[in-house]
Amino acid sequence: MANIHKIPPNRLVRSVKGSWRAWIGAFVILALWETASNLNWISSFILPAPSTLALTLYELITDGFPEGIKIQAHIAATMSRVISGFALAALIGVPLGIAIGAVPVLDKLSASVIAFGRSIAAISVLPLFIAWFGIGEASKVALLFFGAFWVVLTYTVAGVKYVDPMLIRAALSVGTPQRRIFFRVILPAALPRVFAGLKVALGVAFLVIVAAEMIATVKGLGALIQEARTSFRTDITMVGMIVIGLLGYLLSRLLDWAEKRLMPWNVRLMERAR
Amino acid sequence: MSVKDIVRASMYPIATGVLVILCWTAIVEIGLVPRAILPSPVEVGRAGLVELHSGRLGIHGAASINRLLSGYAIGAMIGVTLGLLLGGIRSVRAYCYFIVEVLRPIPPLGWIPLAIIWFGIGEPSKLFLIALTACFPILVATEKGVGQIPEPLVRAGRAMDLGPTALLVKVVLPNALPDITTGLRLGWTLAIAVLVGTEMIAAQSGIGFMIMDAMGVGNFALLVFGIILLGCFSIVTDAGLKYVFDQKLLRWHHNATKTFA
Repeated sequence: MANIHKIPPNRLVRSVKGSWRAWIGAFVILALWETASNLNWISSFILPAPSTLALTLYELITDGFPEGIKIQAHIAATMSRVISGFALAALIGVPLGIAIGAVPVLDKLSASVIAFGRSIAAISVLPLFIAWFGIGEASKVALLFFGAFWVVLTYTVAGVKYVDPMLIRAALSVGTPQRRIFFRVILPAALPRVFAGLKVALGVAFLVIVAAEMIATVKGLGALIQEARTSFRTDITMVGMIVIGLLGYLLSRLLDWAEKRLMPWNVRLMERAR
Repeated sequence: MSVKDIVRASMYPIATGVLVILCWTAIVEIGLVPRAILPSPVEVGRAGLVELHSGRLGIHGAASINRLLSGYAIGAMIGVTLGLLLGGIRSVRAYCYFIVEVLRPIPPLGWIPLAIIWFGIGEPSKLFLIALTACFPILVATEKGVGQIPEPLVRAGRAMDLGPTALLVKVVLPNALPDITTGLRLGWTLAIAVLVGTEMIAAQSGIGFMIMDAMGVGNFALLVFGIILLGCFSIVTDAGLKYVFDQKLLRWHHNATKTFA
């Protein structure tokens, strides 16, 4: 095979080589978009120009929308909801998942409940939670919890259940006591799957919160983009969407970083596998 | 699978189901939670039957399925096509893949306001949203599957004088199929969630609207019925897709059972 003889370019060179074309692509698209909007090929109501969006972002930072709620406040509101719901789901879901994964009877009994809980679209539960917890923060946090919880649980159970039996047998053969095996072998081996679950759960939390904020609130990024639509401010809607995307991206990068810090061995293994 | 296996496999789920319903009934009957807030299973079932008998359930269900299927079909076609282009042609990938990376972190339901601006409040905006939702996971999975085809296979195909179409149909697609089917399943479950969301926020029909409407009139039994119905629909259709993909489409693929277990 020819690939064996090819010297692999080092990573930096590869990533720069890969990305300069992406930058050209981005530049071309932005330029086309800007001209199309300025020459009125597309009405600015349908698609505001990138320069308009930049000005709108400035307006949102200084003046705010609606009724002077600045975008910082919207971001803070959304983030505090996402983080409380997500943290709650992780705090309850991970220990519970470990318990279920470690005890086969619990796993067999709960498997169908977990599978069903996971396939309920979290957003459909919102009306019920509004009835239970009122229209304020509690119902939103509860909804995020509900959406993230089943995902965290599924992945944690799988993580504990599918630990390589060779690892456990190896530990047993050198006389490791049961409790030590649990803390030093099973838990670390389950951690990669737990993290994968946390990442998926974060995605679910973001999906759900935006919709939840469109119903019955004026604070939060979901509310911002919905309010902007009803006042015919497409530019604000689009800036809001970009900010939401950016936040989601940053949060998932944060989890990647935490994963690397917590499990350096796993990252090294993954890189070797590449 | 023999009958004995099926009985053994379904024993625990049935036991759990009965247990959950018993606990739920007990909680409501003892009065731990006010009946107005949590209806009993019997009331939920009755509410569903009333809705079915009045014909409204059929109308809402048909509206939802109609939207879901058309939106999903559009999204799947676009997703697979773009995935093939991005995964198969290196320069397209280099210049354009960033668009996918920029758009993907935006949650699908975050597109609702923009979809309404672009396509109005009617059906097209919902089709757009569902198609968009289904499109991304399918696109990314297809791109991955096509990008990972072993070079020797492609060269072997070329050596046997396969044209571009034959290469696509006989080498590229079969090889990417395990990834594409994973994307198709993920896209399907996501599409259901987004369908419900759009119907709750801007619609006059569909199961999502039925749920929202039930909240408005305080019919919590119907509300719970709607949630359970949607969950059952999602779990059953996903199991169906899994069966079709793994047992029928990918039977030949010897790794399939390992990858999808």
